[in-house]
This record gives sequence, C-alpha cells and structure tokens, in this order.
Amino acid sequence: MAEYLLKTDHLTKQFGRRKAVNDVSLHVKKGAIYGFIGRNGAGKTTFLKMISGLSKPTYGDIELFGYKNEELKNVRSRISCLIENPGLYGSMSAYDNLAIKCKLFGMDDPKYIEKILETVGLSEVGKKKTKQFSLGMKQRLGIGLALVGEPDLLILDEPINGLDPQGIAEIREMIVRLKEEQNMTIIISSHILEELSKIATHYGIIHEGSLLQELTREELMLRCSERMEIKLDAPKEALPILDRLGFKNYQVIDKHTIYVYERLGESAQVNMELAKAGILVKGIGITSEELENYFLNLTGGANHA
Amino acid sequence: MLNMIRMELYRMFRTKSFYVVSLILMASIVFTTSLVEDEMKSFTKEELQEQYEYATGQKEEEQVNFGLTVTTPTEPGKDVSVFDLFYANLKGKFIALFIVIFTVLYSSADMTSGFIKNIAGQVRSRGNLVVAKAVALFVYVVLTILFFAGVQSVSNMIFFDSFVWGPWKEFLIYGGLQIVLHFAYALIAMCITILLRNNVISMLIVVCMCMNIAGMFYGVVDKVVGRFGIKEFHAINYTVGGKILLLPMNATGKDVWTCCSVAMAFLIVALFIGIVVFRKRDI
Repeated sequence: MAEYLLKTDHLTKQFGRRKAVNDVSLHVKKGAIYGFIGRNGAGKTTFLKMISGLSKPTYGDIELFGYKNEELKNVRSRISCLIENPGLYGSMSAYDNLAIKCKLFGMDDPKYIEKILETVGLSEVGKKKTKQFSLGMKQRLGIGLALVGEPDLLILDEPINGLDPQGIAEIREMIVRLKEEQNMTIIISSHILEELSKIATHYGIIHEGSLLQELTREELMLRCSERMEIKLDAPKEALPILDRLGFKNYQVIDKHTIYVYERLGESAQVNMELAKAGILVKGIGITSEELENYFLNLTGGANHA
Repeated sequence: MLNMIRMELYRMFRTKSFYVVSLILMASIVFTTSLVEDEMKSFTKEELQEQYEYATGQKEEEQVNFGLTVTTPTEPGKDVSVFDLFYANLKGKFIALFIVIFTVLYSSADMTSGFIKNIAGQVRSRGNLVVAKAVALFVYVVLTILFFAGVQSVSNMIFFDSFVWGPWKEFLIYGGLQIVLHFAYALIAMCITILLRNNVISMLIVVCMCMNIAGMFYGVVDKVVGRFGIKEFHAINYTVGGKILLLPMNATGKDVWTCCSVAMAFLIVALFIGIVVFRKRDI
C-alpha cells in the first residue's frame, strides 16, 4: 500500500486560456481529514471534480490507492463525493433517492438504507419530498448518498456552505464520527479556515488554481500560535546568538523575520544580546495570528476576499 | 451493467412524469376515440372513402401537412376496429409525441437535478449509464404501446356499438415494428437531450420532429439529390419518422426488413453519439 491514499502530480485543468487548476501536486494520507482551503473561485471544485472522476484533467496525473491512469477505473467505486449542491430528485423521498444509488451498488436491503438515514440524522423524515427539505437536511442527505457503498475516500465540497451554526455543527460532528467509526479518509473543502480547523488533520491551501501550501494541523497551529517576532536584516547571523541563549524552538520565516515560540517574556534580553553582537534589530514583539488572518495573508489580503 | 439497468428502471417507475404522461396519454386516447366516433357518424360516404384512401396511402396528399393528424383507415360501411385506431394514432405520431416528451424529461432529470454527480464518478464506464438508460427507455416504449393498446381497446368498447379487434397477425406485426421504430425515435430524443443539455430546446426539437417539421428538410434533400439525376429519391423513406408514418397496416417482408434496418441504423448512431459525448464530457 502506498504511503498516500491520494497523490496528484502537476494536475492541471484548463478552460480556454484560463487555468482553473494549475500544476497542483497534493498528498492525502490514509485516515486523514484533509481540509482543502481556498477562496471562492480558487479552483477547489474543479480540482475535486477531477479527483472524483467527474472531470478530466488537461494534464497531470492522479494516483488513488496506488492506481494511476487507466487503472483508476478499478478503484472508482471506492471514492464518493458531494460536489457543490447535493444532487437530489426533488419529487422523491430521501429513501427513494438513496434506493436509486443503492440499486447501482446492488444493495437491496431496506435496512441498509435505513441505517444510512440514521447515520445522517434523517430517519424521521418519512415520505417527505426532498424539495421540501431545509438546506441542512439536503446537505445531510447528500452526504448520505455519498456514503452508499461505504467508500474509502469521501470528498465533500463546501458541505457547510449556507448552513446556520447548528447545521454546521451537525455536519462537523457527522464528519468526525465517520472518520472515527468507519476509518474513512475525508477531503473537505471550504473557504472558512476557522471551521475546517476544528476537524481537519491536514491542510492544503489553494489560491488562483495553485496549491500554495500543504501542512499538518500541528504546523498550522504553530504558525498561528503566540510567538516572538524578530525583524532584522540578517537572520542567519542571529541564529548563533539564539542558540547561545538556549532557544531551541524558533523558525526563520523569510530574509527579514525569525519567529521564536518559547520564553516569550525574554524579548528585551534577546534584543540586547543581538545588539551587543552588532546585529541591528528593526523590530521585536510578541504577536499571534488568527487562523483566518493567516489564510488571508497567505492568499493576498482581506481586500481580495 | 445489470445494476445500472435496475437503477434506471427503479428511477423511471419512481418518476412523477412517468405517471403524468401516461395519464394524459390515456385521457387523449379516450378523447380522440370519441372524436372519431363523431366523425364516423357525421361524415358522408364520399368523405369516409377519401379518408380511408389517405389513411391507407392509396391516395397521396398534395402538400406536406405540419402538425399531428390522426386519420382513421376504416373502410366505409365497416366497423372501426381497435387495430384501425391503433394504426391511426401510431402513424400520426400521436403516441410518439408522448414517448419523446417523456424521454426528454427522463433523460435530462439526472443532469438537471445534479444526481448524476452522485454516481458518474463511481462507475467503471460512464457510457454504460447511457446504455442502461436506453434499456429503460425500451421497457418504457413497450409498456406505453401496450398501455395504449389497452386504453384503445377499452375506448372502442365504450364508444362503438360493436367491438372489433381487427386482423391479429397484421396487428401484432405492425405493433412490433412500431415498437422498434418508436424505440429508435426515443433514442434519437435521448441523444438530442444528452447533446444539448437543455430541456427547453430539446423538447422543442423533439416536438417539432413529431409535427413533421423535418418534412421541409427532406424536401430540400430530395431536390438536391434530384439534381444529381436520381429522380425517385425520397429522404423520408430512410428516416425513423418517415417509417412510422409510412408503415402499412399489412406489412410485407420487405417492410419488416427496411423498418428494422432504418431503426437499427438510427438506434446505433444515436446510442453511439450519446455514449461518446457522455464519456468525454465533464459533469
């Protein structure tokens, strides 16, 4: 078994001259809840459609469960998705919508359908037509449809879009339950990092079709946590000083910035020691970042949102 | 593949339009039978003779008629049989109209509802979904024509003094051939729906097909072919719509052969286009 359940290699989708997804190489480990973050129009849905087999890449490769190219059709039934809005027959009941998909998988047992309805919290809806469902109920039924056939990889595109806080919480709980009880690997896209951060174990940030970053929950938390931010011209020269002072948990962010994540009360002493060593400190202070700001800064600021 | 067919059949029988279209078809048959009964009583012998000759193709109409025309092929002085009205309604594309309307609604429902996104990525070959849909449509065409025959029989019992079936053998051969032709017609409608992905335009085209609007196009083709020295060429003879219209009540071996050949040719082309487009296109 490959290390990654899903791996894409320079995946690109071009519409005319515009690249909706550009050279995306993404990696999803088995058992992960992968938060796929991007603004509206960033290319999330196009990317997920390619993974789900609904759309063909212009170029690039997809590797699923260790299978590539033509062999992918052997594992297609192990992937299920809810892309954009849940596709439901409005004049039919939730049971009938599920029964249609169950027929495709050769599952005729009514108890199986009832079990799915129970899993998604719709066991009490009876013969109510789905066009009379609330958005939250439709989303849950959409997830229910995706669960038919017990897929190993579940792809959910913006499942919390348009839901009220209670609806969001219900979907969140359901996703966590699915991962824990059925050991599913889940890719969930959203433009709300704050919401994803409550459940995701890994993250991929996409912007204007390109994957900007892939990181684990720990890495993301570290980047957003409280820290000492040192602004200076030559970070490399400052590192021996930090080592001499006994700092171990620090990170050079760019050519002018070092983040130190420990002993935050000692910023004055750090400043003094650096000055003594002849290193000009332009700024030093304690700072932290909201998850949402981290995402906004990475993707070009709030004015572009 | 079998599971896909079961899925499509389940969906078809759960679709509201299946029952709505069937109900309207039933009401229309009862209504047209009552109109025929009025006509048969009010027409003079000459008018009945003329109608008989037009309906059986003994006399050709001088101009192309657009729209639906149901002309009874009953010889003056004889009783109107179930076969007479079965023939008249099928020949007039009255039943075809209902079949293609349902086909457009049914073929587009999974795309317009977005349900197709739930399944298309999980099947080994997307083209098989089109084949499964075609099989479901075949079942629909058979059921609709049987249902129509049943409703026509009951209507005849209600509106005419004596109940006559008509010649059984001819009835069965004619019904069988019309099933094949109507199935091909349904597949053409399905192909148009898949290609266009637009309910309104697809519906407009298939209704126009039943209203003989294509007759104008056939006329142009005949003229063009005529310029190459082939004077007796009639494009309508090589189309499914034309065969539905021109198939005689007492079909000969040649009629059976040409009907099946034309139907198969259109059926295969429509299915092939549907499969290729559905496989290649993004959902």
